[in-house]
Amino acid sequence: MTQVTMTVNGKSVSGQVEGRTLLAEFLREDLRLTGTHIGCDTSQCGACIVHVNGNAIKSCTALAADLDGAEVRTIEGMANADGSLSVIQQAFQDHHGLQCGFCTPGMVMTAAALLKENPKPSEAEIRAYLEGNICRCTGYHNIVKAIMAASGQDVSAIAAE
Amino acid sequence: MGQLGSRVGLYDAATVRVSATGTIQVMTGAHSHGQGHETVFAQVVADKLGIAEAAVEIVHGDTSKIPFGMGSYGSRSLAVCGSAMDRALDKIIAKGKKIAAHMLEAAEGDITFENGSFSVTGTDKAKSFGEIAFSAYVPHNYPLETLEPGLEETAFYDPNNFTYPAGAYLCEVEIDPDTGKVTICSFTCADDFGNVMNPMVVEGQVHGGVAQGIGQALVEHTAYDENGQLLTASYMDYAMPRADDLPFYQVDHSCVTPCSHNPLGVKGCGEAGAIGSPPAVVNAVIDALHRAGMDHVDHIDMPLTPARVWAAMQA
Amino acid sequence: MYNFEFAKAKTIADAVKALSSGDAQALGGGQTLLPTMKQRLAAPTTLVSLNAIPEMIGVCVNDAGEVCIGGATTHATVAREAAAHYPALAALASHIGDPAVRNRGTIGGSLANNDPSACYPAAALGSGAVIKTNARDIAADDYFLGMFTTALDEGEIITEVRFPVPQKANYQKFVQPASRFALVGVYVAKYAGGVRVAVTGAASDGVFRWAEAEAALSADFAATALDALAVPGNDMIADLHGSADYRAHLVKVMTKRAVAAAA
Repeated sequence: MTQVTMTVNGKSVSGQVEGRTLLAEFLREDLRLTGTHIGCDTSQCGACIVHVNGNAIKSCTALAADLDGAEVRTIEGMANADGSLSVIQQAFQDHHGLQCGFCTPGMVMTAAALLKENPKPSEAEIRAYLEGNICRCTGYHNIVKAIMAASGQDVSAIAAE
Repeated sequence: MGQLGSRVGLYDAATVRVSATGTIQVMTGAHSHGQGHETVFAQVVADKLGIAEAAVEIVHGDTSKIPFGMGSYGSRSLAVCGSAMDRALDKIIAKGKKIAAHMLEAAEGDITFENGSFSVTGTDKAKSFGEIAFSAYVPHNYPLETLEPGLEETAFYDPNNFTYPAGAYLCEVEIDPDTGKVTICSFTCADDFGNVMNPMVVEGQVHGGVAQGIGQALVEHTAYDENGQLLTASYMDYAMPRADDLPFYQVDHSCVTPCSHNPLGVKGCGEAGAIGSPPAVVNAVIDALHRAGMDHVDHIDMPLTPARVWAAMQA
Repeated sequence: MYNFEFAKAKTIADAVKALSSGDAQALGGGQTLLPTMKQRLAAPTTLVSLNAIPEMIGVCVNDAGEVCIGGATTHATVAREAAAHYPALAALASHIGDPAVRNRGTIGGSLANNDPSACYPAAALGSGAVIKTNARDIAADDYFLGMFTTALDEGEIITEVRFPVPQKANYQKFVQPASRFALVGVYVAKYAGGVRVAVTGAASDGVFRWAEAEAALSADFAATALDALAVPGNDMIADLHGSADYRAHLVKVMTKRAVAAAA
């Protein structure tokens, strides 16, 4: 077992992990932060995406022990300080950007990473950036629309609410 | 559906429980796994009773709490379970009229229910839905032989026919002649779903269905080798459509022909997108090949992967 | 995934020492290794992380004008930091996997794994790069020995990759629809001494140089110079996602596109 210490959503946390413990498992099982989902477990679907040291990564394909000392942010750390939804989360709600909700944590984390790099992405840039996030419910329409709206773009011309 | 020869009633059920404070719990047989039942079912209840949607809680998926139902499948939740809910609400209103008649000292037949208020026809004597709910649980001087306290009703609704949504789907594609790769340029859907309770939810259902249908038409394939070994056991080989494989969809439901045989006038919408899109995509590909002079290509097995389209073009 | 001992090296010397014992394996970004271990296709007793060795991280240009990339540098960093020095290489890095994969996956990990559908082998072979390890320098032409096979010895790690910068270059990838790896990827680079063409994804032996195309393009760097050439389908991969003939065809199509985009 290895001792790991990380800052997760602004709080210092530590625990004993096996070599094989994935970051996703450490978050979900040790810290009980179950907002991070494990979908495919093969690094394809993106439901497990969290931010590590400011970068989006797939937490099902990273070892907890390898991230000792890292700064981690999960979906639980995305709301505003007063508990209200962040701009991106609110846009997902307003534009029906989620149905079953399984992909949503990863979608929101990816969207946040995108908007940090590119504050006003085009539709094509958003779709390209979502390459590693799979959604089975929404056909991506309202996800792309929500991200455009969250970046302050007028989406009223995009057909269908 | 028993009437249509399925030899089983494909009913669904709902229990409407009104609390003493006028809030409502609805226990439904249909279950939401993301389709938006909580939103739409609460809307149906709130509209019918003239109360706030926030006062309605939808309870689903817990078999220790819900009445026996058939569940969510076959684009049936609102048409069947929603209709059961509507029937249960009819019973709630009928019971509410009895209570109002007692409270207002009028004949039950003189009570009308409108906009959340029970009133004596032709007078200004009225009781709000909340007052009736309160009275149901704090009954005063009730004629107990004919008026039972409480306000909770269950209905089972067995439809006597299918619903018949109709639609037209239009797909425009481009094919890369060098590689056979198909790109969806635009996709437009027009559906008649009867009465639409919540356009946003309905359109979300169509979007998801269309993406699944495009996936089926272009990339998704469960393949086995000659020994029965699954070759597509992970997303490394099973292709799921991604955001950059798909466009924004144009979705229209302005043509409204209410369903004639359920109380809500609604038709199924959950499967429409997935049903209409594969033939639209495949027809568009074949049409594009014909226009490019390859009119020998009349059929390509789905999925129309680049490799298959290219092979068909060489034939 | 079977359990293993985890070690994190702080220096190259640390890593080499840790890798010398037993059945230890180096861990780069883990974007291929960890999924492989989950499927129990690999089960090392010890994993040695190379992700915290400062001397193995970063992009720079040496006195010879070569772009030097530390073995533990992520694809995202290469995409960002090599853009000014070697745009075609940066563009290739910016399309590996997806954004989250690019934030973890490393150039050293990709080259050490030598997946027959990976992008970096095409860039390294197409650029005539030098793969520098803890023990020696290996020319790309001597490095790739077949599918998942390289000239690396047990415990040898890629510390840096040096890319001579060409006059013109471009990479064209035609993706496999499911994995988004290269079904066929072609890297074309024009140097003063001639043109190199490296192909990934297509052949059962992994990345290879297309000699006939190199000769034709060295004489005339134009897509039309390839018109008369054809790639034989013999050594091409045939699978669910494309026949050998289809892959052979795509090699030519992608090569022409790379030349057109580079020119």
